[in-house]
Amino acid sequence: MSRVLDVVRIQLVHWPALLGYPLLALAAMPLLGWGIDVSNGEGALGAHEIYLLPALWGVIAPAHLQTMTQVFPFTLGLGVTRRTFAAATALVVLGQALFVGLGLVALDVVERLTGGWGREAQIFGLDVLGQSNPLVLWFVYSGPLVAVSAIAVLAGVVFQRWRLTGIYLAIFGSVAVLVAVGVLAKTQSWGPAIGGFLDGQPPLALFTAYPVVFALALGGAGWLVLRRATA
Amino acid sequence: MKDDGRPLFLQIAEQIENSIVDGSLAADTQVPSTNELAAFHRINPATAAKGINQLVADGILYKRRGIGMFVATDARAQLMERRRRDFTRQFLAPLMAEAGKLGMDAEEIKKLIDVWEPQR
Amino acid sequence: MNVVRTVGVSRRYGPLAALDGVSVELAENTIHGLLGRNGAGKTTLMRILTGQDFETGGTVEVFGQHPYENADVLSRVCFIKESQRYPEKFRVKHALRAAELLYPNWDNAYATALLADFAIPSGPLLGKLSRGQLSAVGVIIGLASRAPLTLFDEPYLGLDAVARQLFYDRLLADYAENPRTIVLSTHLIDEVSDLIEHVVLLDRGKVLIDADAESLRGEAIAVTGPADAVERFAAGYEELHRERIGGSLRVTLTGAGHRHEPGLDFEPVSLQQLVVRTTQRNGRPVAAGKES
Repeated sequence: MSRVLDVVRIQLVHWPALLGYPLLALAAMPLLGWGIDVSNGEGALGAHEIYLLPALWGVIAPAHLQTMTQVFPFTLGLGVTRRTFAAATALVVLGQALFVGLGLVALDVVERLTGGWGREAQIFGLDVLGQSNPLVLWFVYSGPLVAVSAIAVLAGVVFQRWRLTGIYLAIFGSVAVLVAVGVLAKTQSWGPAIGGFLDGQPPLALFTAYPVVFALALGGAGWLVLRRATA
Repeated sequence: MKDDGRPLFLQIAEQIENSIVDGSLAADTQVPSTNELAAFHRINPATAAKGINQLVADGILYKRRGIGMFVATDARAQLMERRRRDFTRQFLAPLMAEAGKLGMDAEEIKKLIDVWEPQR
Repeated sequence: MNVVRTVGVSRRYGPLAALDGVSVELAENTIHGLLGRNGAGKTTLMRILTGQDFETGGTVEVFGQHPYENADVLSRVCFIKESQRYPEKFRVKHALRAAELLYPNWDNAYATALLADFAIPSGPLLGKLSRGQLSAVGVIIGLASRAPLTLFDEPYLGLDAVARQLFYDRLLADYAENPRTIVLSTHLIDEVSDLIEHVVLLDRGKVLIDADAESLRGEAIAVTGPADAVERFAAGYEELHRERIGGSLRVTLTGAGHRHEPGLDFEPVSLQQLVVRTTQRNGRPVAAGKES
């Protein structure tokens, strides 16, 4: 276990990318939200939502790519097993998600206290996330981040093992699967059933449970690829 | 170390023997440790150790536990004796062979030896 | 006690065999030289020994166990390779800190002294260092790790002659004080021939020489003289190479020991020459009397 923690410390040399930039992005969001409202025109808008949170995903992902393509070969050369590295990566992903999630909870509090940044703007308190107590909200915020990180980690592992060829295959494969699902959903009229199912799900399931299960599945796939990866 | 095809450890042993014969390593003084020799000659310590052990086996050096290797009291005498025995094979034979190639006989050699003086 | 033991190890990439039936044993607390041309299989072998690559056949044992994904074995192994790549945002001190965390025998004071010896500051980004400085960092990590099995895969290619000599001196000094098993792979054979105790020569994935360095020292000689006389002398021995000029012939032979013959010139053959000639001979069919 201590060796896993040692590798976590080594991965955390990249703390600016893992923790710093996401926090900076968070801090910038209220300003960005204000800029969006201004550019959309004056006038009383009333309560309105601004979907800036997904932009966070673009800030979180690159750090994990860097970990898999640079730190992994480095530590492999220093005798760290792939198993240990995978465990350390999982811890870092979880830690980052919870850390950034905490920042989101804090900003949500500020948003409510300022009455939506003084103009009923909802950047952090999106309706779909539900009105929950801070603890549940923390998990609701963190869940999707784990899933996004898992995608980035898997991409990094695929690149390490199969380079660009692997990346192309993965992208085409994913698109093909999505298109197939979309076609099936349309022809089999899955749409309404799926929509109805999702509507009835509480935020904790939608934004924490399913994303985490998804992340675990990707993690399993990633491990199968990593096992035979070389530096 | 010189590349003359002879095992390195023998070359090490020979260098120490030379120091004993020319007097720079006196009887019952300590010789450099294997690590010092290895570092100085830039060779593997195991090789240096082998050279030292060869000299111990030959009775030229002796070991004082916990302190190191020392020159045997009669080391110089032993070495001189051995080198005298080898002198004929090592120096005289090639000299006579070369003399033969040049058509010089024993008488001429003896005359050369009589008049020979070391260069300053 | 053998720290490394391989039996019939192969590594194939499709039809190409980077390693083909390699069986070697590396004894404990010895400096081993792993020699051979580019592409001979030296790096492949080292990568397999350190669990970074996988054998396609044969047995591999490091400290008596298979190294792949074996934390117990790998924490005792330090592998410094020529193509060592560091995370670009890491600084020298981060690389050393990582090694400190991962290697139980790490000596920080020694590492700091080595940094000073090689004149490497600990602040700069690794991505900004010159090739020579990067090689020096690799070498410093390898030495300061004091790992029971330390492998250097030509990491000193980027080092100039002065820095290389510094590396050899530090290696020898530390090896004398802290004996461990060292494997050096190199092209610069003459530079290390006095350091290594055991020689393994690879060529095209196979082992050509696996012998004690001392016994190889006097193994080959070059005999020069009038062609007929040399041919007569060479008749009973294994020939590695021949060169002709005018009426003179020079033949490199093995097994002739310290024989002497009037009228012929005998020169010792350095380890590098022995390796070169043996490798060359492996590349073409041997036919008595055939000139190179």
